[in-house]
Amino acid sequence: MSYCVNCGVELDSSAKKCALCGTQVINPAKAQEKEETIAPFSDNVYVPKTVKARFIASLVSVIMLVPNMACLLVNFLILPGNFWSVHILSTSALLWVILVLPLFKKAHKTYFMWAFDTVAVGGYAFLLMNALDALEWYTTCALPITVLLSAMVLFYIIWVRRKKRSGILKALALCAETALAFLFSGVLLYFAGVPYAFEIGLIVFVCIVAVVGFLAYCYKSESMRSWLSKKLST
Amino acid sequence: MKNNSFDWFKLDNAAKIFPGQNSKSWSNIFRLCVQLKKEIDPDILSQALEATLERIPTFNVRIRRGLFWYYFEKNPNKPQVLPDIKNPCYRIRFKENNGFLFRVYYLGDRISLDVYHALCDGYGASVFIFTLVGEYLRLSGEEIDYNQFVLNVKDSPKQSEVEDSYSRYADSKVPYDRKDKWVYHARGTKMPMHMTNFTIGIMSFKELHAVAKSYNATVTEFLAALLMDVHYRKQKAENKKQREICVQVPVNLRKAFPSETLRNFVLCLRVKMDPNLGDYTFDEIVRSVSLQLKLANDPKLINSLMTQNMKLERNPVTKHLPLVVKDLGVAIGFLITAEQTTSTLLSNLGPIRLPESVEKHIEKAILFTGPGKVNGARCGVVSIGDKLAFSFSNCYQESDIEREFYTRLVKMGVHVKIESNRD
Ligand SMILES: [Zn+2]
Repeated sequence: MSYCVNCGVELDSSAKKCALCGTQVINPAKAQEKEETIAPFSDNVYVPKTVKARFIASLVSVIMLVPNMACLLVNFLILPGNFWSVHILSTSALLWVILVLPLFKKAHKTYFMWAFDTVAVGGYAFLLMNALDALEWYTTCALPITVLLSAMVLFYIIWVRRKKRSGILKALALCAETALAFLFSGVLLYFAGVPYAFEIGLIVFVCIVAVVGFLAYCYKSESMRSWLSKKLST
Repeated sequence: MKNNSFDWFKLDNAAKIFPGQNSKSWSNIFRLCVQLKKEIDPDILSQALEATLERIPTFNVRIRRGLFWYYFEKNPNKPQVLPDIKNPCYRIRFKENNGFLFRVYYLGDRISLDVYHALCDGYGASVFIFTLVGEYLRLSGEEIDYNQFVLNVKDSPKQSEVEDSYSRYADSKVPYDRKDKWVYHARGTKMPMHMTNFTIGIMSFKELHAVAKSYNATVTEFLAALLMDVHYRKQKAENKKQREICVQVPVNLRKAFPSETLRNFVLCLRVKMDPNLGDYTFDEIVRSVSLQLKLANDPKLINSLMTQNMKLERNPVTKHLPLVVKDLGVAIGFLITAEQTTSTLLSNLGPIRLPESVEKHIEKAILFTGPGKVNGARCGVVSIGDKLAFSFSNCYQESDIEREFYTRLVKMGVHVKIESNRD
């Protein structure tokens, strides 16, 4: 029999140290006993199957690459003339940068990702507007909105990274930011002369604020939380 | 035996909220482990499991989504027995494991059952595992007898064993609205996902009973009080704003309401103490916990709580919300309120009385409550003969609560043997 000299409890003869305090077990009789006992727990940790993010990322990359290459070839060999495949290529590239790149673990440098995404979105809008001969739109609407959203995302990233915050608080802040983004975009578009832009932005803003407000109230109010808790637990 | 009424079931009242909260961070799986005196033969265990599923059809199911509710449907697949793992009670996915909502493991001389709480409560799980053990012993050539825990697999399932006893008995005219405060939580460093620390203390029932008796309390009351005391002193040492401490104690309702159901039929009582009222000695805590439990254990009061819990299910508006909306509601509600009104859990299955012919082959049984979402140490108790196993399921790395709890018992003269999956 092994005992922990520190806690006074008996330990399983397979134990190398005390589970309560971590003290090493020194027991000369252990060597002889060892053969006959089986440890109460297996050493085999089971990790439930989850498809690895990197694998998905590679798969999606390949799937996206094939039609793009095909388009490029068709554009040059069969239907030359204007560069229509640029649209498809740039859209795919943008989607890839925003959705797939973060799945590769190495790319998890937050500020780098932020800068990269901003440039990608700006570049994409430029390409698109240029191809459509609407560069004026680019300078009055697309670029300001891109800069605005990017700044808000940056603000959020800094806020989240400054200190550890609860998941609910982060979610609430994200919702509030989204609401503000709609409002600011509405204002920007209004000055750019888009009809009803401000009104639509305002409506979306108010709706989101109402929902966020309710959730924030639930989060803050103890009585509300315990009421909900009671309704949902046995 | 073929009976259409065992082909599908509605989830019972307690089970209804579980699927909506199934997530990475909260598995809602508990484990019952039985240690025999001989090495387990997986082939015989597998045969015994198939026979047991025929006898207890509420386990022979997979979960399906209906328009308004989840429901259980007879599972056409074959169950498996698996070599045991280091991290019991990891989350269930409804499509894994051939759709079964339980897992049976073997390791050396131990048989373990990880079961999703929507299927059954601790009592139902103990009937399942002891019926399985009984059939396993019979197939290995032993003569055995049967009782309420060890069912004969040759008998037919009974309708009364699959009933939803909540809807049968919840009929109080005064649904009781409990006022619960935001309580203290002992927190620590979270374990990696899917890992939970289990620390089991094995002791003599007689020794523990004698100590409890010296405090004029039952074993459950005494253990709940000790758990309360450990949390009380830990909070005090943390030197923050002192919050109420609440120990959740599930009670088996079959004792107060005659029911044979093998599904859920439990209700959680709450034992509380407010440190702001002043300093408490251990004797005072035991006295208070003991009185609170005695007072709460009143069938009429329990009926009233049960009726309150049925309200959402019976309300014509919420009843007919689509399942997606209900799930979302449960998920959001759980995110905000999960475990916020309880500090810890003490689930005592009590002494399990088996037929002598079965008990002589059993070394001990252990109940693991499974990890909490924010609550660290959650406890399960079960005893067979003189062997009582007290387990902690802890989602944090720290073991200070466990250490304090067991060393306090040692100081009171109870011999404790520790088993753990900690490294
Ligand atoms: Zn120790």
